[in-house]
Amino acid sequence: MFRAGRLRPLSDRIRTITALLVIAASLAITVVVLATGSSDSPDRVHALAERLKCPICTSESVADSPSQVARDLYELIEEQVADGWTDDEIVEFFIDTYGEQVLLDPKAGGAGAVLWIAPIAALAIGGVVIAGRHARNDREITDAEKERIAAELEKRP
Amino acid sequence: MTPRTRIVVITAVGLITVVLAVVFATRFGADPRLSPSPLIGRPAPDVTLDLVESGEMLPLHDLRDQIVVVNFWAPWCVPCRAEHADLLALAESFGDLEVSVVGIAYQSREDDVIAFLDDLGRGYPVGMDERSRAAIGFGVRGVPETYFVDRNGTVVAKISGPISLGLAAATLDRMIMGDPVESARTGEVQTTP
Repeated sequence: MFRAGRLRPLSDRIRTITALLVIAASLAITVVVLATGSSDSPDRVHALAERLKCPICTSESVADSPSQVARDLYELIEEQVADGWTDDEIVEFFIDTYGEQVLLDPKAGGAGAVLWIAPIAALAIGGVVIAGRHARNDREITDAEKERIAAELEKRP
Repeated sequence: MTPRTRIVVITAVGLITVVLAVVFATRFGADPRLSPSPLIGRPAPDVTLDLVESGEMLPLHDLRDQIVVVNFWAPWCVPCRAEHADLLALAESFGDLEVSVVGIAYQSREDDVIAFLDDLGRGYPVGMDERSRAAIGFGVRGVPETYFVDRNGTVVAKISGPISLGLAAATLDRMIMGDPVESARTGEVQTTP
């Protein structure tokens, strides 16, 4: 039987660990969904068209753009898929003709690596800084510090 | 945080901000439609043109052993009207030097192409681009765009924007002499009617 009672307030440490776990779980889910989303798509053509930028548009994918060029590109992707091209071969074909700017998501290698690594590096640095500050706050107070605190308290009116 | 650590952190953040500011300031004005072609130094795509009026098929590879100037244009493109006379003059001036000028009508209807040629003149073969296959093969981002293909079938230069007789002739002169040529950006390209 559940007994109503006063909940004990969570300590700062538990709150911090919980927050970090929630953030880590969210990141893990995002990474897993992004990594597996395209390959499991029931429609390979549409998934590929969503990865490629319409060359005459600012930031619309081939799948989303209503332009005639995008429709022609979509049709070409359909033919390439029907002819047995792999996803990598199709993407490389478009990079060879339009350059890497044709990719809506930059490549993980080369200069594009900075865009992928920077947020992770920033997160890691932030985590280290927060952990460092907590470690400093959690340490035992030395005898000298206790004496100083006591002396300061005695001075108070 | 010690004062020394604080100074290091503030300096690092300041440096990163300056680097990002420089990157954004230099890249925001860049128009990706006017970017250099990844095709430079590589074989020209094997495209076949359906020539207007005659209905003949012209594979670009049939022009191997000649220098080929491939001009993507459209009857609805304003800068294309401005460059057309220069391309006619170019075809006439370099015709005896085994240089072929070829026009490819981008995202156009044949009736409009013929009306444009009736209005501004004919002087070199013009083909329709069925399902944009030639434009996709060359990585065209708008019109006008002009590609220079050497006698080996290699793309050596791309001009984004309207081409002038002077620039085209200078590029061809260098190609004929075997000198290296450079791509150029002469102005905006038009993407839609």
